[in-house]
Amino acid sequence: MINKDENKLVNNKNVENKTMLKGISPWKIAFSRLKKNKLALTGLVVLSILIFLAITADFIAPHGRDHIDLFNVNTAPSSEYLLGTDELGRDVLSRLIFGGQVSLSVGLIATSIALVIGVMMGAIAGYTGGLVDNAIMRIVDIVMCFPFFVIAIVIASILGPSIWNVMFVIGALSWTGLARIVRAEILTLKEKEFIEAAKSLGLEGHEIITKHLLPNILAPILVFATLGIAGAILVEAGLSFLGFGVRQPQPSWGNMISAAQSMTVLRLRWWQWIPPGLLIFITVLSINFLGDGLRDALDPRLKQ
Amino acid sequence: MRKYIIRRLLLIIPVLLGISIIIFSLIHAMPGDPFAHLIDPNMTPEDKDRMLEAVGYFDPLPVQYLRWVAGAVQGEFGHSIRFKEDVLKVMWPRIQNTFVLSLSAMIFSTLLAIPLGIISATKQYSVFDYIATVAAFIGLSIPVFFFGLMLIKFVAFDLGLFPIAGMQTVASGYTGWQLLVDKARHLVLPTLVLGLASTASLMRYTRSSMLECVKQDYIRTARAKGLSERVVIYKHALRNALIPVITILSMQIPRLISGALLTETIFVWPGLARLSFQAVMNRDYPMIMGTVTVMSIVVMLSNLFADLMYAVLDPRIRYQ
Repeated sequence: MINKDENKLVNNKNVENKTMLKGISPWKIAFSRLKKNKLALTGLVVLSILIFLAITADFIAPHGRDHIDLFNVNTAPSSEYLLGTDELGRDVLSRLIFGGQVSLSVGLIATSIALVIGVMMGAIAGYTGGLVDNAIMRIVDIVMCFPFFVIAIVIASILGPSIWNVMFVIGALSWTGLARIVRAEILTLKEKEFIEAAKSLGLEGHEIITKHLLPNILAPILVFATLGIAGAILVEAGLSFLGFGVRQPQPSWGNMISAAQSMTVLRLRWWQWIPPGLLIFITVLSINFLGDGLRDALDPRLKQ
Repeated sequence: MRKYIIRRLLLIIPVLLGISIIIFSLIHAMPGDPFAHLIDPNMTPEDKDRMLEAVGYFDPLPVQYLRWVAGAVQGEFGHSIRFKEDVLKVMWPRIQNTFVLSLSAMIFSTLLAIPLGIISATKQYSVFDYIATVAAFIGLSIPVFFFGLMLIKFVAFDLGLFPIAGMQTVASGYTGWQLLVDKARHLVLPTLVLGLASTASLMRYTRSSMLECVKQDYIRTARAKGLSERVVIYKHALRNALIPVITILSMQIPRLISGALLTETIFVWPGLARLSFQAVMNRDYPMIMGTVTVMSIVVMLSNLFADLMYAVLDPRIRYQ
């Protein structure tokens, strides 16, 4: 059943891509290239399975997320609890499935926040130039110099630990790279004739940016977004591991691993910390494969 | 060139001010009181207020900030609330520890990544290239702390090859040679963990930079005039391919220093990142400001270093 739905997901994506980008050949070329990339395709399939599991967690998880079984505390994997139970007698497998919701949504939403800030800042800096450009680039310099985890922890302790604040913190700190990319691309693009034409037609600055410039730099933005999701998932796991991200009882893969900070768990109860670690690893690996495939597929220099 | 360096150094000042203002306002917005656990519970609230007043706790924030800046430019970062000692004095040994760890991680990743990247590029699409590429992806995708915990469990506990944590065996009484070996053994696992991600990305960059170089006309010329493949690759291509690699290498420095927090936490390594983490936990304001300032300066200097190396190595680049 999983497999069937899985295929549907992939097919839907194909259809969507085709209708959305009808007639735009570079995207079709890119997509056909992506289809030939085995690693990227594997990444896409694995990701679809993980997303499917996260969405249908309520129906698939064998036990409740916070269901406590005091007769089975810290038990090893068995037929009743496929991946054993944790120190409160909760089913590890079910918590892993629910934890996927957290990790994936943090990755997606944090990256969207970074995307909005980064594209806006980069576009304004690149298009306006002069003093505005200077001011924005100094802000980028400042944020880039922040020791990431220290600042993230300070902000997290001001706002309080919650999944929304984690998304905000990661988004607010990881837009700088994108801003630089967008600015650089726009700096070269805005000298081109078609922008001059748009200007002489009397279009406003924001119209030129959104309708003429941004569509032309969609490729690097898309690649950045894909790889950004992988980065955000890793950061969320790190923050939650340190106790400043998603807090118990809500499970996240990162805060599940922090059980291994106890030496007993680390040495004797592998089922409590190795599976969430492997899941983060598999998720991030799949996204990285997909992102790298996209980069190659969208690279105009590699045209055949 | 000299003008350029001076301008870049001057540019550090506004950025540093910006960073310190933001951090200063952020840490004062944190809930909690750094003096809470230092104050004698028998003290009356009035006495407590009087004492806090004496250290300037109730001054308006801009005044407190200016006081901090005035001290900082003279190398006075104030007294740590937690350690009851001068901030610089507490930081100094931690800076050295962090330096040892990041230097060792950097040497490890450079020695491993650059040769692997070159071989990968010269044998593009071979089995070796494929395995190296997948390995690099694995290195970039595994969470640092998870990798560290796995090493601690399987290598340190189960096989007993290396110590679990710390910088040296406590109360071992080792001296001289033995002490050095003991310290080196403690350094192995943290180096692997901290160097992993850098190794992976450095390898990818070396590979793509090398591939880019091999396509150039002067390589074809070198081959055409009958040079051996060895000379073509290692003398002509490699030299030019390494220019962007060195930039990437210096860009790893910030990641090695402030990104070391998870590695330092897992291996209980007394470094700067862990110190700043503890400072945040204890609301040790002067210590947070001190550690963040040091880290930011290191980041900016290594960025400047990267740009300068670029100009030194590549005569085509001129800075004004």
